[in-house]
Amino acid sequence: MNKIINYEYRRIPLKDIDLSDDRCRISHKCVYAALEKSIGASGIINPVILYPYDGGYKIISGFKRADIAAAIDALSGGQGSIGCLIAGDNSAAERLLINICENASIRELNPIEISAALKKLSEFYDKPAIVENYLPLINMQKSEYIFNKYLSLDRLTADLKTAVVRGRLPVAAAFILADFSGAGQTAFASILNETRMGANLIVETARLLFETAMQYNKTAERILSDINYEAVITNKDLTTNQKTETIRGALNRLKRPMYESCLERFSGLASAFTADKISINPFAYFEKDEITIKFNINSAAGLEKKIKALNRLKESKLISEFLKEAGRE
Amino acid sequence: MIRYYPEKVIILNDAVIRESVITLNILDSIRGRGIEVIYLSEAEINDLIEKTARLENSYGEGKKTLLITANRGEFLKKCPGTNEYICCDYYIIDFAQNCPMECTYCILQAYLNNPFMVVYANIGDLFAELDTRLAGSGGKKIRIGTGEFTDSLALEHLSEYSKILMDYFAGKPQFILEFKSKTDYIKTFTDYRSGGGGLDNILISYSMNAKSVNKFEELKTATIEERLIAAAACVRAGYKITLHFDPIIDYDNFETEMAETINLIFKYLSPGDIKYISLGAFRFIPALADIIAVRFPKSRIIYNEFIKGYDKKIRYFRFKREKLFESVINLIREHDRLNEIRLYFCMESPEMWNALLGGAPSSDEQLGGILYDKCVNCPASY
Repeated sequence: MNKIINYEYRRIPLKDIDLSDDRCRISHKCVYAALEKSIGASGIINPVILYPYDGGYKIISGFKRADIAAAIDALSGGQGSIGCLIAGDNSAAERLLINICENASIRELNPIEISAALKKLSEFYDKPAIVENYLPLINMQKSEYIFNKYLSLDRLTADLKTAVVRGRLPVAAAFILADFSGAGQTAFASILNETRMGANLIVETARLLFETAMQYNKTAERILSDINYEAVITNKDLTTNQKTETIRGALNRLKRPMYESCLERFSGLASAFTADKISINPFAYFEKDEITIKFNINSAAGLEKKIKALNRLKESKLISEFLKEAGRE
Repeated sequence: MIRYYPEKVIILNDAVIRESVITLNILDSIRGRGIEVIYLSEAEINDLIEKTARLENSYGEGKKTLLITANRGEFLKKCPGTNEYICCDYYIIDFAQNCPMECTYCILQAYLNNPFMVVYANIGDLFAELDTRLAGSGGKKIRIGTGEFTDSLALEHLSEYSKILMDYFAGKPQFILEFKSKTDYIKTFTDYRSGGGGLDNILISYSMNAKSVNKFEELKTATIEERLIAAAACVRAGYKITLHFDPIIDYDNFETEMAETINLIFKYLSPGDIKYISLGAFRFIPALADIIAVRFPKSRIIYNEFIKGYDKKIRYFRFKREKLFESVINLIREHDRLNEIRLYFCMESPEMWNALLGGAPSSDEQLGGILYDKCVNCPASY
């Protein structure tokens, strides 16, 4: 687009602007509290860009500003107007590019806006052209992989898009969730709301759920239903941390059934020595026939007690089951 | 199976490479196929590698180009092991890199930074290095393979590299040379006329797997039966065979399909034809999982009960590996009741050896020596 865009500044009554038309829109419709507060206090400083259409106007850029101004105006009778820049005769593709350029030049687009921008650009250009010409425009690397990843976010439910925009859902988790069906995403969103997991845990849990679903060739919602997640998140006796642990524990048991049952068996046998204050742990993932035994002593009598307990351990099922053969020295 | 022909051949514009027998063999074998041949400087080649590596599907796209160039590093390398898992003390000749076949689990996808099919044509340097290093090996029992950074035979119909290596090793019977492949290419072996030495130090080796793994995870390769027909032809031509069940993958109908494959092996080969069989469970570096997920979205091999081993690779949980190995070992021993075939694990823990193979070797060198002796002396059973 080499064309110079000429604008004419005018004040336009809000009722003449078609707020429902979102052909150029890349921002996600949700509550933008900070912007609402700013516009409420100071009005719109940066004019909205419009183009004339069928006796009224449609928006090229400034959807959030116009939405908020209209909402505020509705409270005071709906007769207000806002300062606007009116663009001349541009094609639909040019209008979309005006919006993307205007937003990308003054701030970083959030992942959902990038996704929407790529989706709408795809209506006018093919993938290689977008990768080559327009990804750099929004400060993205020229890469088909990146294009595909961000475009996939368009498959998120509105709630999850909102969570990404608000920084509640890390984009790494959003990429994973985009591969779930709507039902799977909705179920995950409800877990997110009820557990208050931190960013890292959200990503890990999304990945754990995805991998478990792939492992069993089931959908994410089916896996969540198998672990009875609704009963967990609605259980008022559990804290948010306990809910997180319960859900992750159940997923881990599904993902690594042999390991988890081994660990359970080991822990059961090791618990016989808890009263002696001897802690016994297996080698990581039982990869070696090796166990770690830890205890503290502070007297000769204490040592005598530990020796007795260790003699009991030597004859225990734990030793016969988990230290089968001698390894390579 | 369909043989690989590149869309384009790039040759390093250097007299040694231009006039190498490898280059001449390749040019001869592609004549009349309308394949573009261009000569470029090292700098131009590096530019092109960099540009191709940036492509989204660089790994797939790169294979359309065959690069004939010089190996500026070492040709003879030691197979990297770890301290904790037992390795078979193996050496590798790095004569080519990359592979035209498409195994979903292939580590080369994460390992190579040059997406082209590469053949090193400076064989004068190769033989000079082998002369020096093998002369200084002090009687060590050395087994050398060519199938680590590529398939040993995937480009053999173009370059005849294996034939040239066989000529070289014919005069060095104390060193064992193993060709590992997922192809069914045998012309080199069946047509081979030794310049004096025998075939005793040559091993032809085939990768084995369950039918579904072969079908869905080893794309563009020969079928298991095609490989076994090739192996049987090699036996008839006087060669020794080795087999590799690596990677063993926990797949649907594992037991049934593995039994089918093992029955098929012994339909075409007798236990006496097979010197050894290696067993290795699927393992991968974390970066490979991301590549597999993108390149082969239908493959589910990366989703299973995995743990991080102490070599930092992802591998099946120990007792799952044990179960998989036990099935394969029992199936093999049903056909090999006299234990003629030496079985060994590739990169496994002493615990696994103790549990399933009657004890662990005391060192990598000991295992290497056992395998060497099995091939050179060929006792009825080890």
